[in-house]
Amino acid sequence: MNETLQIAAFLLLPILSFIVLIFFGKKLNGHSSTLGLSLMGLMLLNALILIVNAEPYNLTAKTYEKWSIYNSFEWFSTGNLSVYLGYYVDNITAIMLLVVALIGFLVHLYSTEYMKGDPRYSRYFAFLGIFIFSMNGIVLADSLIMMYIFWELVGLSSFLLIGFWFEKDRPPMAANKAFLTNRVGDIGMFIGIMILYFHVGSFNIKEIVGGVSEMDPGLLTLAGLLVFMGAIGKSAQFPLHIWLPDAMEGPTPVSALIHAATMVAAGVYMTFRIFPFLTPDALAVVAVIGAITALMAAITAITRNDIKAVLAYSTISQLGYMIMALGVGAPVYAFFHLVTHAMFKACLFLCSGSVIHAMHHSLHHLDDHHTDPQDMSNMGGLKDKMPITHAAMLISTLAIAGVPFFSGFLSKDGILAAVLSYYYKYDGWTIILPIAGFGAAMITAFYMFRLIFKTFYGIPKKKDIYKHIHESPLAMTIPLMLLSVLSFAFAFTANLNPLKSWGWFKALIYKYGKNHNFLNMKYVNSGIESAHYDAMYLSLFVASIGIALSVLIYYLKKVDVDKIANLFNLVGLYSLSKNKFYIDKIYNMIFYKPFLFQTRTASFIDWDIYDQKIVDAWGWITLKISKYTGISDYSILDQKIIDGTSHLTQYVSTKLRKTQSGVIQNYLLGVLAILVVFIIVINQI
Amino acid sequence: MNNLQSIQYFLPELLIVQLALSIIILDLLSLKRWVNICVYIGLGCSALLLCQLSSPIDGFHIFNGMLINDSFSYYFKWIILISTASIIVISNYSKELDREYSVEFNAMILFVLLGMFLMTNSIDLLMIYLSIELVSIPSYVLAGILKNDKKSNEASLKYVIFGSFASGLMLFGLSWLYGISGSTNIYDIYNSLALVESPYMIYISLMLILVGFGYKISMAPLHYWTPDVYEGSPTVVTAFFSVAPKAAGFAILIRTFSILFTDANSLSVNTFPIHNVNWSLVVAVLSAITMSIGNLLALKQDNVKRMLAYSTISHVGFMLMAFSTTSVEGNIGIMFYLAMYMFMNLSAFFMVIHVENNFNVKNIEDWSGIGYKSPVLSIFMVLSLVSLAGLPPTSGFVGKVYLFRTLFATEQFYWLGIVAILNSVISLYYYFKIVKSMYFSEKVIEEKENIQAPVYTLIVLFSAQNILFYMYWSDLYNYIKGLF
Repeated sequence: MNETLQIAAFLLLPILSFIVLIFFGKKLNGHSSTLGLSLMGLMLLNALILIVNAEPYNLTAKTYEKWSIYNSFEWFSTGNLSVYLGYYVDNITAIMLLVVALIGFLVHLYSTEYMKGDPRYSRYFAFLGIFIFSMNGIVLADSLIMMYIFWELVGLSSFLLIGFWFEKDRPPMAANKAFLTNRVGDIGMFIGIMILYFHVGSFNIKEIVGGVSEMDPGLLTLAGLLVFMGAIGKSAQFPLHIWLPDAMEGPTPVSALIHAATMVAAGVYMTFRIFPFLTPDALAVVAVIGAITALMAAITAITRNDIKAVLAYSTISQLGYMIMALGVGAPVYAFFHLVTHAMFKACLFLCSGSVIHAMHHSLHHLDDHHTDPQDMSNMGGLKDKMPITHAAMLISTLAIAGVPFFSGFLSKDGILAAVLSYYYKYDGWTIILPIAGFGAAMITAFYMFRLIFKTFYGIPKKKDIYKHIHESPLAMTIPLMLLSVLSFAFAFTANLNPLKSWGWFKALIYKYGKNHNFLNMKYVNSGIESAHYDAMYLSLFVASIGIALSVLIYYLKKVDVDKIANLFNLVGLYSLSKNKFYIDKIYNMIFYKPFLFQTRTASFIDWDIYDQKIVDAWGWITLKISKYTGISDYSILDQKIIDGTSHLTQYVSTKLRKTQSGVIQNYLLGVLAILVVFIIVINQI
Repeated sequence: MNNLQSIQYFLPELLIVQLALSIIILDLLSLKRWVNICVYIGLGCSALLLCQLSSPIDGFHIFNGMLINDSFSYYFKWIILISTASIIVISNYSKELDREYSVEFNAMILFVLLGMFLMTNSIDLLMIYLSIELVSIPSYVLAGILKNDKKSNEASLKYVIFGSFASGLMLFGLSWLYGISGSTNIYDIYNSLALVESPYMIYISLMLILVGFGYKISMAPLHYWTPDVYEGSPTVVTAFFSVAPKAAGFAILIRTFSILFTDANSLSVNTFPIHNVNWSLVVAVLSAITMSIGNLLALKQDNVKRMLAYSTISHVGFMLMAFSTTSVEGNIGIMFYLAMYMFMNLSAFFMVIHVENNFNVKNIEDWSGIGYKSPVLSIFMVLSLVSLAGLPPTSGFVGKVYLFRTLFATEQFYWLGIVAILNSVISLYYYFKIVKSMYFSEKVIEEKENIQAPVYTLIVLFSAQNILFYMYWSDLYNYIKGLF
């Protein structure tokens, strides 16, 4: 019971924040952030208590005792269908809850300053509350159906927060796009869940994992991929990644929380949970999708000039890494990368928020409402004005670029090792996976340093703006400092050898990569171990190339950018990157335009032809007919027959009333008479 | 079971006897202000004791086979207890009743309550007769409790004459049974009935007994007393007569007929009338007459109480329709319907009491404008009337569905179903006459409305059950089913 209460607190605290703020937010106004922040603080404390309970894997004793608590209750049952809601908490859940609580708390803290003066200040915190409630619901869910419910709820809160500034032009469009794109994935997910339910008879993930062995492998592959479609939508994987860059229209702290650290990672988390029953075929598809996403998004990121757009594509690319890791059978590294990525990417976003905040204030000061505060070509040289932001951003960039001593190196290295071992094992076409993996690693290092150099180094592009730039207040820089500390490798290993990833964190999650229905995970894991050194050297090599190129081009300015661009454009790469691989245009051409054409045609047929001509003609005919039926109905049927019945009833009533004369002698006589009649007559029948 | 052993199954009744006697003593000791508290606590304890009891449908024969204690009787006792308790609460707020005689009123009601409890339990001819008389005689007093009111006196006198007439006929019928079998226990009588060659004797005694029971439930043609007595009695008493004694009457009717005059000799088996005595047809015919007379006469009534009296008669007809199927499902349907009927009818009567208290009106036209004067209660009144008419979304609809279902499921008396449906249509008219008067007449009421919290609460509480049981009836239905 105590445990259940502790777990329930993860849902109750944020929803409490939501309910109070949505109803009483206007009254609380400035204090609404205090309320949200303190509730998040309680939740963070709760998450820390929970993680202390988690049991690390004992390497020497090789104990597999799984620490887990779970409980469920019946939600409703109709006929044969019983739907249960419940929670399942193990190490992974506890870590995930901690990540959500930590980043949620820091974003709340950050937002108190960032959102100051917004007319809908309290509503913003209310929406953050419902988002955290829904996210925790996904993390805690023990069944796919419950996960699906909260899945939709995070979709809703994401919609609300992207479109938070709805009086502007673009946020509502972006919110719509995000929501609709996600629906495509979610429909697949729902079909997949139903297929699994009809063959296994349960929504519970544990029971599905235990029960799928009797399913037809082809169908299971299909079901697994359909469920994975949900992850494609939510984690912005190719081909449904188009919504995430647009989602940057929301407030930057929201981008950090939802569109970098937590919600988009939900797809990875869900795939991690269903990983044991994905068939090898399905996993291959997952890996390829991850690889395409990682490489494509990285290439697109190079040519972005909007600081948040670079980070958005970088997020897509890193999510692609995680998905690819799941596909090649390394869920542990995928989850590892999820957590490290959550830290450094949240840090990056909050740093960019800090920069935008400073830019915005400076522009406001100058009364300039046309210059885009997010455009990097207006920045430069901010290093001296914003030292804390600069330091934090540099640290997290080093982390994402995969430099030793930083967290990103540990997890990315594991993923690349897994990809490499996959290629060693299967050969042939699988070469594209390591190419995508290492290629994306190189490009990531390149474009991230490009971002750093363009923003913080060099000479300021616009002197007047530069003059009014100030470092952000403490409430915004504290999260930056904390998150950048967590981007160091020793935060995850407590171990100074940069090439070893073993540490407390891996001990917590190590055992969760040992279980798969169709693959021999022992064999897979030993493959990863043996490919480890190849991958490490290779990844160090590509990362340093990326950084070196970036330094050459953007810091030392030894190479002209345009020349390089022209060079790449010989194979069409530059314009591909510049135009985001034309994906939005392709969708516009093959989906939206035909669809709009179809709806217009349908509308024409329905309204102009069917409604205006055919239906109205019928209306005219009916009018004529009804005139004559009206006459016959009212004058004959109504006046004569129906009213006649009514008059008859009234008449009978009046007559019968006389039996109730009020004279008791008559009553008694009547009773006796009827009794005699009954006794004599009915007995004869 | 001997007398001493039996007492453990008889505690609620014993408590009621004590309660009735002790409030009389309290009155004599001039401790009148304690009476109400004493009654409330006593009835509460009685309800608690009722909860304690449990026995199967076959029951325990207690007091040497005079009474039976079974799950069937518990259910009826609950209905009787709830309706009586609510009447006792309401009676404290009625302006019609004379405060001076409130103790006598309570004592009489408690004696009737005891009698009704015994009616649900009786399995001996003597007890059957005595329990009916125990209900009837205090009822005569209750009908005439307004000593200075002519109408009340007349009602009382008519009730006495009609009641003694009916009980005389019933006693005659009971003596026929005793003559045939030489026993007074109905289980023993059943065994002897099997040996009787001519069904004619059984038939005559059956008809005469039916007179006695029919008088209690106002079955046609024994309904004559109902409108006169209902109109003359104080409204509280009318409300009381319209539910609790009807439930008790149905309990004794179902028990006696199912055990004596069917092939099964048990309550829990679907069965047929005993050899060649086709009394189910008699009941069916009487049911058709009862509901038709009730509805047709209600049409032309101006007095609200009188109209509700006729409506009671028609509801009895509907319940008899289910009884004519002689099936367990039919009995369950009646028990289910009684619970629904209790809530809708009592809430309507309480509203009548409330309106009479405040605006001093008797006729339907005088109700005009009440919908605007007391808007909340009026909505609940409309709900109760809709329920009485048997329309969704109310429990009256659900109850009626089950009554019809049993009739059509047994595949006999289809004509009765048609009569019943026609009657449902007729009943719409007169119930909505009140609604029409409440909302569509432009009369401004000058009197100030004085809301008494208990009356208000009871109206809302009882009327709300119409919606509650519309949505969640299955639990109650399954509970009743579980009793058998």
